[in-house]
Amino acid sequence: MTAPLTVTIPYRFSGLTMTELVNQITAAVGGGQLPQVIIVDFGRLGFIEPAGIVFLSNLIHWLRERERNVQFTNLAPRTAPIAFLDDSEFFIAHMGEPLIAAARPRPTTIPYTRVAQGESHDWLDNRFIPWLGGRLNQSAATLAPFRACVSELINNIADHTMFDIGGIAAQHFPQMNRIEIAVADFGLGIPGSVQRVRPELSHADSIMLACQPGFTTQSTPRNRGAGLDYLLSVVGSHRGTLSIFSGNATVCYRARDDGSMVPTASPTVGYCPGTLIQIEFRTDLIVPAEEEEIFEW
Amino acid sequence: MVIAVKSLVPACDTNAHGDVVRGAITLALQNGGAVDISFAGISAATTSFVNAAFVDLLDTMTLADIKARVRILHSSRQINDMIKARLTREAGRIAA
Repeated sequence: MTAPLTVTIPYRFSGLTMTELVNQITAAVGGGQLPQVIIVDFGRLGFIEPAGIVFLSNLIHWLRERERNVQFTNLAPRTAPIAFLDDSEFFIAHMGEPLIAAARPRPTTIPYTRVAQGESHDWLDNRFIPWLGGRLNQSAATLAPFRACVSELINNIADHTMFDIGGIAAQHFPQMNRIEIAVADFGLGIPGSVQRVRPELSHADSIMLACQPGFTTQSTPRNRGAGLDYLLSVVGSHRGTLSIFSGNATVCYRARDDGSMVPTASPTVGYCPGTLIQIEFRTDLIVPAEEEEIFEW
Repeated sequence: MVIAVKSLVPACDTNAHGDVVRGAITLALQNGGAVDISFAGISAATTSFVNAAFVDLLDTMTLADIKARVRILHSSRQINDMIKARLTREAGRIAA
């Protein structure tokens, strides 16, 4: 039996640093088997973003589904990031109980949630949009583009992986007029999916091709390749960013002043299993919409 | 004839939701005439839903025919924009 493996969460745990965790696992495993016991060390953690919470939670679920014993260490003293995770129901989700009884979800966050496509409309209408509407004091009609964006991301998981469950977390940064939403799955990943039809492409090029309107791997026959393009248009109109982490690549789309989105690709230090998509947008650019608008061609 | 989307599907999120609505539209148009689609109670629609509910109508109808016979009611700006954008793009692809 292999010795327990300890993996250390980096100081700033975000989309850009999450693969360090995977690197530690793959480096220790080499060509062999995953250890039976994996210990996650929170001792260095200084700040964790929604992308980090989603990735870490998905990783824990993935390891436990493979009957690995995942343990946590260095949860004391209860530093700010540990308290944040506790209030985000992270320890309820993965240990069955909070670290302290007083832990409560903060109004600025949507705790990590596993959402299946079949029940996503219920979660979107009864949890996500009421939270977003309450934070931003906006109506469901005004927030409809963001509801559609998150639903597109959930559909993407169902269309491109053999699972239909993804992890999602969100956070409002009111001082910065910003919302961050992260959705992730541990499926095949965008490069893996695109390379089925375009095997010559790099991981980065695969991701950028997947975002082109009309491109589809036909992973499901009905897929017309419009979802990611729609995401880009909504994020762009709110001068936000859309970052896609999958395989060996990270592609970050940033908005120009005219709302168009420009990609920057960079190799990931390590490997991101599945796909994690992080969108952030400016809340001060949201334009209120009427509940109904007359339809005209 | 009015089709109330909310009475058929819980949301407008998936291909499956769109298939149900398209089925109702197709049935309503079988005998000629027009049909009203009410989105009362629905705030948003995804590309997957619109593809299945409306774009797939292009298999048997022209865009001009859809515009003449399918009316959209009680819809949000997001739903309107999504329907117009998807139909226009896919009809253009068919014409090309």
